[in-house]
This record gives sequence, C-alpha cells and structure tokens, in this order.
Amino acid sequence: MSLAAFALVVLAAGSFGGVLEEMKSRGFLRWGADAEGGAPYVFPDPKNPKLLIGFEVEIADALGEVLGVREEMVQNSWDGLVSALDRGSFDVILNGLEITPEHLGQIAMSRPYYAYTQQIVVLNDEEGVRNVESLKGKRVGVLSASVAHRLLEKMGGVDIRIYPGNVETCKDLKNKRIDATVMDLPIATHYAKPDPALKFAGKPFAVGYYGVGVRKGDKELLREVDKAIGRLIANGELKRIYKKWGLWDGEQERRLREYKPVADPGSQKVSTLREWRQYLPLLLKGAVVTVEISFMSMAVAVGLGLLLALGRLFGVAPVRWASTAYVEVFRGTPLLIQLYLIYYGLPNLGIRLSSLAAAVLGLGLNYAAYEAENYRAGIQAIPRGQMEAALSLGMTRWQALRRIVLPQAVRVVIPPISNDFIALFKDSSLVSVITMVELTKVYGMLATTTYDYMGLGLMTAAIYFALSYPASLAANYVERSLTYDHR
Amino acid sequence: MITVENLVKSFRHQRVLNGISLEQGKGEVVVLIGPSGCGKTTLLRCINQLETFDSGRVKVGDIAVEACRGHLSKDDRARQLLLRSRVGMVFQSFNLFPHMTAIENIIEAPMTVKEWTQSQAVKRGLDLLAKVGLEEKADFYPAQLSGGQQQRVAIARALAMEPEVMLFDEPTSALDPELKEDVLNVMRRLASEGMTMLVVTHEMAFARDMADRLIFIEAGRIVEQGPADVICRQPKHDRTKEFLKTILPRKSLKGANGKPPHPSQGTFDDVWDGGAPDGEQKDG
Repeated sequence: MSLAAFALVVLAAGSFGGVLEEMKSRGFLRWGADAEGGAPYVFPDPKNPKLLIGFEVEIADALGEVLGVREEMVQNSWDGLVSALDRGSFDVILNGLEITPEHLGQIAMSRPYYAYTQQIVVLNDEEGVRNVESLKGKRVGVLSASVAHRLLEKMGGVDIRIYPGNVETCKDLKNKRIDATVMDLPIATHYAKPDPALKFAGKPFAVGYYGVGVRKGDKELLREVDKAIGRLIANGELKRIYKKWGLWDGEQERRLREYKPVADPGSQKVSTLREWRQYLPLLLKGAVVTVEISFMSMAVAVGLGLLLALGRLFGVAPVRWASTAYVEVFRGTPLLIQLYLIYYGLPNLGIRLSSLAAAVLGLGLNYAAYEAENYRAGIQAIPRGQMEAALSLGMTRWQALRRIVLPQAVRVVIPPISNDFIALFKDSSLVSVITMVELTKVYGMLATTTYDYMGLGLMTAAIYFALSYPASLAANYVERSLTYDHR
Repeated sequence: MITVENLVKSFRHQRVLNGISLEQGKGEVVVLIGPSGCGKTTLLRCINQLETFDSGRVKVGDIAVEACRGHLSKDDRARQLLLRSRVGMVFQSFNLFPHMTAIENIIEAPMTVKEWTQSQAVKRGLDLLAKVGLEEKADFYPAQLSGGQQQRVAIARALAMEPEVMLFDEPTSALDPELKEDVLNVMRRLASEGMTMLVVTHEMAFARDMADRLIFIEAGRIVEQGPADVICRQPKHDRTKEFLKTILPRKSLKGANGKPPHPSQGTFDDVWDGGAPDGEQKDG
C-alpha cells in the first residue's frame, strides 16, 4: 500500500460520521469547484466578476436549502478536486465530476444531478466530421483528463491535443491549429453555440452522469445529498435551473430517473511504483520533450541574451534603451502570461506558431532577459584595464570585446547561466498550458487516472533530478577547464 | 613626434588638464612628474585616445586628433585606431590578458590588428620576450609570473605592434622595490635604442640617467620643464622644490640616528643623489 493510500485511510477514519453534524453547526456546505474557465458550471459573472454564477452555484444553493445550510464555494483546480476532497479541503465536490469507475474507486458519488453527453464542435465550413468515428486521423483538442480525452484515447487513431481549458480549445479551433474539439454538452452549449464561426457536428453521444463527490467515509452525508437531489428532481427545481441555462432537453428527466448506479468497484488504486515498467516509459517520453524544449530555448536565451547585454553596455542610445526595456519587461512579467500571449494571443495578429515553436520562443525570450543580466554582470566584472589595454594596442572595440573581454566574461557567467539552465529545465513544465505534453504534464495525466500522486511523483522527480544533476556536473567541469589562473 | 596643443580636459566639473602644450622630438625621452591628481596620467591617456578631451589638439607623427565630444565619425574612428596602433602604452597595473599565456598576449594584437600570420607573430614575439629577458616564460600565464615579469611582458606586448612612441604610466609603482630594477633596465635599454618615450614615474634615478627632459606638472598645467639635472638641482619654482622634497625622501628617511630629518634640512643635491638606488657617487 502506498503512503498516499495510507494517509487516505487515516483521514477517512478521522472524519467518519462527523462531517454532517460539523457542517450543520457551521451552517455552510463547503463545495469544491474550479471557477477558471468554468462556464456554465461555476464562473465569475462577467457583469460583476466578484460574484460567482453558474448552474452549479444554483444547485449548491438549492441543495443547501434542502439540507438546511448555506453554501460556500472553495476554489480548487479541477484536476486536483478529488485529492483535495481527500485532504479535507471541502465537504463535497460539485463541479461536473463524472460518475466513473475511476472516481468511484477513489471517492463515493451521489446519484446524478445531470446527464451529460459529448458534443463534437468544428468550424462552420467543416463538412467531413459527422460522428466520433470520423475524427480518426484528425487533430482533436480536448480538456486535460476529461471524459472526451479518455474516450478518444480508448478509440485510438486520433491526434489528441491536450488543453488546460475549453476556452482554449475553441480558440485554437478558430486558429486552425486543431480540426475539431470534443467537450461535454453544457460547455459546448455555453461556449461554442453562440459563436457564429463554430458549429456542432453530429449528434450528442456517450451519455454520462455528473454526481456530487463525497469522501467514502461520509456515508451519512452521502445519503442526505442523495435524498436532496431526489427532492430537487421531483419538485422541478433542477428542471427550472437547467432551462434557465439552456441545458434542458427532453431526455434529461428520463435519463436522471432511469439511472442505474454503477457498482462500487472497490479500491482501484494502482501502485505505480510496483508497476513502474508500465509507467516509466510514458514518463520518459515526456522527459524527451522536456529535454528538447529546454535545450532549444536555452540556445535562444543564451544567444539573444548576449546581444541584449552588448546592446545595453555598448549600443548607441536607442539600442541601449530598447535592450534595457526588453530586459525589464520580460523579467517583470510572468512566464505563464508570456506563453499565453505568444500561443493564444499572437494569432489575433495573424502569427500562428506551432506549440513547440511557441514553447521554445516563450521560454527563450523570457530567459534571454536573465541571461542578458548575467552577461552584463560578467562583462562588468572584467576590469576596465583589460578593454583599455586591448584598445591601446590598436584593436577595435569589437575586437577587444570578442578576443579579450568576452572570453574572460564567459568563465564568470558559466555558474549563473548553468544555474538558470536548471531553472529553465524545471520551468519548462509551464508549457503544458500550450498543449505540449512534457514530463510534468504526463505526470499530471497519469496521476489523475491512477491517483498515485506519491509513486508517480517520486518517479517524475527522480527523472528530473537524473537529468539536471549531470547538467550541473557538466557545468562544473566546463568551468574548471576554463580556469587559467592555475599556479 | 608628439605634439600636444593647449589640451583642456574636465571630468564633470573638475578641470584636470588646463591648457597643456608639449612638443616631443623623435627619439626624445621625456619624464613627467607631479603630485597625484595633477593630470599627468590623464595627459598620457588623452594622447592615446583612451580619454576624449574638451579642446586642443594631439598629434602623433602625421596623425592629428581634434577635441571631440559625443559620437565619433567613421573617419575619426579610423584615425583613432591608426594612432593607437602607432603608440604603445604600458599601464601601472600591467593589464595583461589573464586568459592568455605570455606569448599569446604578445601575438594577439599583431594577429588581429595587423593580420600577421601566427608563425610570423610568434617569431617576433619570442624575440621580444628574449629582449625583456623572459624567453623561457613564453608559455606561462600571467598569474604564474611575478609583477616585474608581468610588466616586462606588457612592454614586449606593446612593442610587438612596432610603435613609434611608447607611453609609460607609472610602470614600476605597483612593484616591490626589488622587482623594479628589471623593468627599469628594459626601459633604459629601449631609451638607449632611440625609442621616443613619454614616461610618468617617480623613479628619479631613471629620470636622471635617461630623460632628455623633465616636466613638472601641477593642477593640469606645466609648471616647469628642462633637462632633468637642471630641474632637480635648481628648480625655479617653489612648487617644484616642495614636490621634489616629498618625492625623494629615501636617503633622508634613513638619516642619522634613525631620525627623519626636517624637510628643510639637506640640499636638493643630497636628495637627488640619494635617489639613486644603485648607490652611485655624486657626480661633479
């Protein structure tokens, strides 16, 4: 049994029976959800961003009313909702969590409050996509770890692109980086339907159910939630909410009533450490992408950084200002935002980069600012007399730089630059937001299906270390071999 | 060979050179003395174009450079490079390139500036190292050499460009006394071979033996100049007298009974002759 499972048992035992009472005395039902890209489930009201709205906010409110408490939403990234529930961050999950064997292996789930289907969305002029089979051989964007993601993976033959949210998939569909996207119908209804550039392709397929997630030990709470949902179906409250949000179709009520509970499969927790042979190759594939991106972007950073440093130190005034501005802007804004701007923002200006190009450019441009400062410090650490001696011998400023100052500066900057390389190596995990599936992303995807955050985490960390440690050894070696003040 | 006309140079609001004019003939050895901050180093740096100046004119051989502020034209730059390649400069702190061996230091400029072949440059470089008495140190890095050896390599490096003029900026003042002599001997030999030399130094024995002319500078002006012997024995200006007293205290400090003598004691002759490190007898 892995450590994580052990911790889970302890937590579950500790919370047995007490949660319902605790919740009632507190007066709040704390429900976990992710409001980022969360329309129409839970999202900030565009007219008043301080206020959260969405059909699940209204369901939470209605549930609370039946249970005799008020509701309070706890923000948590969607990927991590199940493990956060285990940790006790909130009482229930109410956020489009599908009733699947995987989830039931980990937590208990209520009877469904919504029957969803999958919907294919394509560009208006796309005629080739009629059903899920016709997606084979096409580039299809899906939300990471979603039902659509798993469906397409199981079907095979689809070039799957993984996105952090469904807003991004729709945007990239219009950018023509993907041919289609598959998403839960409520999302499609909210994001794609109103967009004149997009249309639904084929009929909804693959019926599934959203249920409220509850810790396995909280049996009493689960019973109460089940009862409350039954009440909301019976008294038409759910129908009212779904109609308001455009989510009601004739099938909904029938499906909710005819739902047959999936048998609890028992604990499905996988010890990935014991079956490392199965998981390691997947992680290593991600590691290859990480290494590729790191080396390419570091090459960009080191080259551009040198130009920026020279521009800042020796350029004419406009070059000096521009270099300084570049360094300050790229250092002073988050890498994540820069990646978003380059990948999702630039297409607005007609520049469409592949995700690899965007990743290399984003990391490279960002780190160039840091490398420029390293070079600048390195060049300034070389005594003035070196430049003057070279000039007095009749060398040009450029010759003096190239032959005298830079070779000495390089040795000074190797430690900070190799330090930055290791930092970049780890920062490269951020490029998963622009659909690159690198090491950390592979870890995240495997962890959300196996729930073995511990075992996979150790494996992933070991791979990172196994790659970065030789890099720092190599840097030490180079630094030593460039030493010239040996006595 | 060197002409300086009415040179004025300020750093911020401090005027460092206050209208200096100087004419130095081919083969002439001129020694500049003066209190620290008097502008003698700045004068050398202006001649070598390491500093710009506010007004006046510098001419070395047939290359003239005018005062210039701000951006240099392409023409100015070319003239500056040409001038520097004809003027060798030796720095107080040697400024050898630490990532290169002695011979690499020497061949660097001939190869990059004059585009000599490596074999040509090395051959000439080894000759120069032999001239400064360091041929066996060709493959040593600067950090492996003593200060005196480094300065001699630096002189060989400057000579490798075959300059018409050599500027020395306090070449021995960073050295321990026992290491100065090797450097001074190299300079003596250069002077006797007819090199045009402009030297900032406090080594009065060198000045006495080698200088054709001694120039005393104070507050950015030439106070007094003439043959070294005359200036030291019969300085006309009080400022020169006072300065010479401060610069040549060695014999006096070792005065009788170990007591430092009052500055008014002793004649300039005493000081002057006492300054000779090799203990030569009074002449005349």
